[in-house]
Amino acid sequence: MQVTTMGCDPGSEHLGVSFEAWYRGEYRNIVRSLMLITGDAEVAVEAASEACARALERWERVGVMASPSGWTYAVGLNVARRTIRRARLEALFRRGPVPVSIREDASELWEAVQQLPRQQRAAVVLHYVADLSQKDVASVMGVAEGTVAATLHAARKRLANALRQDVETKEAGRE
Amino acid sequence: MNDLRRSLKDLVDDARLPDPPSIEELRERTRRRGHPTHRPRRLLAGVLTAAVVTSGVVLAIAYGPRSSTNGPNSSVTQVTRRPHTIVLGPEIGQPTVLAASNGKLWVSGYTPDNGDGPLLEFDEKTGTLLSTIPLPNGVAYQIATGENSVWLRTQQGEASTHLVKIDVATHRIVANIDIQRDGGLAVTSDALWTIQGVFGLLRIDPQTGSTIATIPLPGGEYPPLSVTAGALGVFLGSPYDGSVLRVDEQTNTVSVVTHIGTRVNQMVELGGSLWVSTGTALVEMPVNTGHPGRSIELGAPILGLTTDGHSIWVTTDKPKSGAFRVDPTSGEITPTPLRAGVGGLSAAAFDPMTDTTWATASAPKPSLVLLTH
Repeated sequence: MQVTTMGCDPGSEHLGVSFEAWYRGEYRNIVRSLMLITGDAEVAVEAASEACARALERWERVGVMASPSGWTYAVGLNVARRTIRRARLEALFRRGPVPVSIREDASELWEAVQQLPRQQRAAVVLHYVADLSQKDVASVMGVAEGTVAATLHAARKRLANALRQDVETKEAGRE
Repeated sequence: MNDLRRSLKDLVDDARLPDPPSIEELRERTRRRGHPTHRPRRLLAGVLTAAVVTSGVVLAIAYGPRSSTNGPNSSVTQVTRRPHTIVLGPEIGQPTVLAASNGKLWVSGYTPDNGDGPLLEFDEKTGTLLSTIPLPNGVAYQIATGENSVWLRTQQGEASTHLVKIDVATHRIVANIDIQRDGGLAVTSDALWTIQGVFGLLRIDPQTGSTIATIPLPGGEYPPLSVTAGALGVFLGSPYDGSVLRVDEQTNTVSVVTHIGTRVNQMVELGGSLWVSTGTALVEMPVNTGHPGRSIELGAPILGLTTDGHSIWVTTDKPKSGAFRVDPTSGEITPTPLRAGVGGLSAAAFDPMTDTTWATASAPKPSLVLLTH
């Protein structure tokens, strides 16, 4: 039985927020967040666009959720995961990941973010970059809210250590 | 904390971020699903997957534990592997209904001694049983998910059926409406559509549970019983004469569109067509023509029908290979690999949030199985 509602008017505001307004405000942040989580610019853009297309199809449902962005991030991450799995299978015939364009002055932080364990990196990006509440991050990642808090704490500590070490290494080099 | 937030947000060079696709491009992306331009990639993936299965080497890399050779660029949030099978436990002996929504699976059916089973809620990702909700009026035979709710039709006898609404947050039954006669169920954002047998089609306010309209149906003692609702509209199908009917939501009237075979069992919408199961065949009805188009023979009675937006998923009672993916463009039928001993598939459901399709199975144990490409 199909119960999805599709093809709503993107400008319709009967649900409180129109798809178009939400989409214009969120799309680039979704791309940015998925880039930081996957480390692959092409996968991130594709997953963000697909997730937004699915949100548009179902906006009558998604638009009234407490966090439409949370739903879209969850879809985007699943699309990205599937794409990456497929890419692994096709690895012999296909290019590697398309690098994310990082600001020149932020390479140390990017390095530190890339070194985070998967769960920590996802939690940090979803909370600090995507601006999802800890409750929504928990929902997207399928873990308890307390787990998100602990994961964020561990990630902050790890980032701080990594960046401190980086600064100390640079200063030692100058001396 | 704000420094960290700002620094992380500034990591990506905004000047290199793409502009959002236009709304029309998003719509085109949806329309393209199932279009031939997508097929070569899927074909390539299929060929490669077959090669991988044969070699048995890369499979371990793709589906096994992540190895240390996986660089940071190849990781996303999921750490634990999604279960392929979720055993239902002692409460359900024969599943009858299945819905998938927002990462949760909702299933009900008969108990092992043919009694009325409860509604079970499972986490798709971990397979954990999240809740068990006893149903008050007979066994569930129809299910649909709405906004923060699950709707069921339950039945004790031909003239004793109920419409039950469950609040997914509290897991409580918040409505239990006597419907008297059986029929299908579908939910849209502003209405719940359910058939009350010979008494007509009920249009119900999903928030209050009150009846907005009772729409007369043709057929007398043999009315249409199945309902589907999607982008193309609300459609009804008759298991008695194969008629497909369309609901005019403005006037609350119903009109016959066409006849497909001698019976209509289930229907789903995909692309611009309604796909109808009639016995052992799947028939396409392009909505713009209203005439039956291609007929795809599955070779066994179709028991479950759903769509993931790209393909149609069908379950049949064929032993060993009971699940199939049907390409809506080419009509190609691809059997879904099932683990040894898995059989008795019936209801099927797709969760757009997790991008996964599930089916109920009765062998070797009552369970839910993940259908894969």
